[in-house]
Amino acid sequence: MSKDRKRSRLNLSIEEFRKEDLIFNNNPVFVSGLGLAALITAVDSVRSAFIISVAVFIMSIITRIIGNIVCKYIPERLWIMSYALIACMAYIPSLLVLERMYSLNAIRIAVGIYLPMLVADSMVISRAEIPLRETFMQSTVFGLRSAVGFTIAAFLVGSVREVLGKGTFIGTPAVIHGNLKIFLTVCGGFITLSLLSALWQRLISISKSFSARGGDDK
Amino acid sequence: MREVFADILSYIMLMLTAITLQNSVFTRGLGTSHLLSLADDTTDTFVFTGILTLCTTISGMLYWTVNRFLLQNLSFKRYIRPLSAVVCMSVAFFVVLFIIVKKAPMKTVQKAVAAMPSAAFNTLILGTIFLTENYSMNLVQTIVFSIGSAIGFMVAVLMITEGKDKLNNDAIPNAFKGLPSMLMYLAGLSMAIYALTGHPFSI
Repeated sequence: MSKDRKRSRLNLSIEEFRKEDLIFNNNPVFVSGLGLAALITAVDSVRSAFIISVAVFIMSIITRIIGNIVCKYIPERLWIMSYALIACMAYIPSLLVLERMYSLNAIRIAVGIYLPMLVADSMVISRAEIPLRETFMQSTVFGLRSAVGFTIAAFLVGSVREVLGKGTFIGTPAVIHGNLKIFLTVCGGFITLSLLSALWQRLISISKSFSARGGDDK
Repeated sequence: MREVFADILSYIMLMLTAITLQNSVFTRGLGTSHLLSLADDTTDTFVFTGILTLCTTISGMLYWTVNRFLLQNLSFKRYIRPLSAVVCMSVAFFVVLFIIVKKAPMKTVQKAVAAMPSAAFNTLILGTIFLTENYSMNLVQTIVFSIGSAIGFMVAVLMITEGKDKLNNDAIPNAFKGLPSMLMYLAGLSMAIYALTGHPFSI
């Protein structure tokens, strides 16, 4: 009896972990389809993936924390607007950080209008669509997890597109013969995301069946 | 007279280009996340795109004015550019809300108010604003391009709604069901437009 209870508690905690996991099981890009505009168009190399990820990291965490506090005093219908305005404030430090690493011209060439566009991106402001309030700690942890999930996705997309489209990896020539320029276009972005998302969903289903089998064996 | 016709024709061409060859979704990926979520939920497509068209146009006009008379010569413009655009989008949000509440029938008001936040704040509107600025468009061109972009989004919504029904079949492998198959479908449409604009593929 106690064994059964232990097992059901273990299964429950795995289910809870799955629900809250924003890195693998609920990856914001490959599972929820958030933040696609930048990944489809701007992220065609590891460098652009890094630039976008740094901005998303800073903006999503700051926006989520401040948004959670501010939204206590604002009607629900105006939450998205508030989140977008807060994201604009968070954009300033993120650009300052990026300017320390790269020249303004390099940033413009790598990501163009897709960096300032992050302030209205669902990756940063979609939290406003969920009417559940969080504590400070929850905001920080979930914001961090979702940013890590996005970063992993961005690096995968950027790496695949750079290797296949440019024949390089982080700027150094990769060992492939010829390059497929289509992967640098928007349709290449859609194709890369589609294939990676299918692969990701396959991995999720494998991990689910594996853990279910593990639970049965015990 | 001939010059007037030439101008009108150029604006019509600009709008058609924004709808088809420069479609924001298929050529720039703008608003893709919203497009995919719109295909999944029950929001009225025409109400959503109607609000989107109004918001895009009004935001575009406001930002054009703000950029021309306030931002253009500021040395720190790059830091406050998104803030100015989002403030313009917020003003457009309230203007459209006011128009809907005053003019629309009660049944539409409820649907419109529910769809307003996500229709007024998304990457499609912000991207269109930045594109009109990058291309140094005049006010009329900004209005025409904004309307064209929003109609282009509606075309994308209609195409994805049509595609979604066909993608719901057993022939599609499990891993590709849902988001991956939708993205692959969008890739096909994007490739068609890319080829239509005369780009050769290097495959």
